[in-house]
Amino acid sequence: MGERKAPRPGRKKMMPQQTSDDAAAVGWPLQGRMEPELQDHIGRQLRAVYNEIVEEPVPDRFLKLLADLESKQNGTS
Amino acid sequence: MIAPSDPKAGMLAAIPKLRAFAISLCGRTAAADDLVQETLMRAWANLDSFEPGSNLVAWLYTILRNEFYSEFRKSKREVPDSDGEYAARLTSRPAQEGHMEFLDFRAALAKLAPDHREALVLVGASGLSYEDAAQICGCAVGTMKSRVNRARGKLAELLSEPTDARSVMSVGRGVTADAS
Repeated sequence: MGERKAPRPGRKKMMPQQTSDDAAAVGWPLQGRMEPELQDHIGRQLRAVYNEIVEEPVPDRFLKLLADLESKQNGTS
Repeated sequence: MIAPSDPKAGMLAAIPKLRAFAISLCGRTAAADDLVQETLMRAWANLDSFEPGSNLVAWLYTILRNEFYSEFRKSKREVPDSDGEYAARLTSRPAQEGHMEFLDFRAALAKLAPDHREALVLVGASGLSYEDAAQICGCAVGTMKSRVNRARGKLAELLSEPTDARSVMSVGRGVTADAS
């Protein structure tokens, strides 16, 4: 395993042979910086950034919108 | 949970995911929630064209994406210059001696080309299949796989290289060459 520059704090040490499922699925060519460890880190970070928003409470405006749409629909039926 | 035959309940449940996709397109702006609002209204009006049992989230994402590229682009309510914004935030910090800085993940994500970032958000973040993502974006499955591949490679590159005044990643914003 080659030397890594200044590893980021808190970065887990993983088995070099570990590959993420979707990396294997596309026949991920391993070259240079595309090590499995970094790709797994990317996958985790992607989901973390996404999930942070997904876990936010639904803004009232959308609840109101759906309720309005529903009642308008019922009103005209 | 959600009955498969109840797309309305499905729409409510999908709002957090819609917000996440909208924010990935528009940034954390009012435009993102406006986009979600517009999407919900369109979806509601077109519920009869939704095929029951098919992937509701993928269907909603398609509407959202089309709305973004048609209306929101036209009215110039686009993605804020997140690329320049992040680069400026980085280069304005004083470089400390011996301290290597790396782009944080969000900054690196913001630097990707829009279609690459979108591919990663759909496949890597929201967990859609390549097929669903390709359909949403109106491209071939092979194209989607290739975008995801390239996006991951570019991200890896951006995250691995330390940022300094001489870095080629800096957007030309008058970076002062006083680092190390």
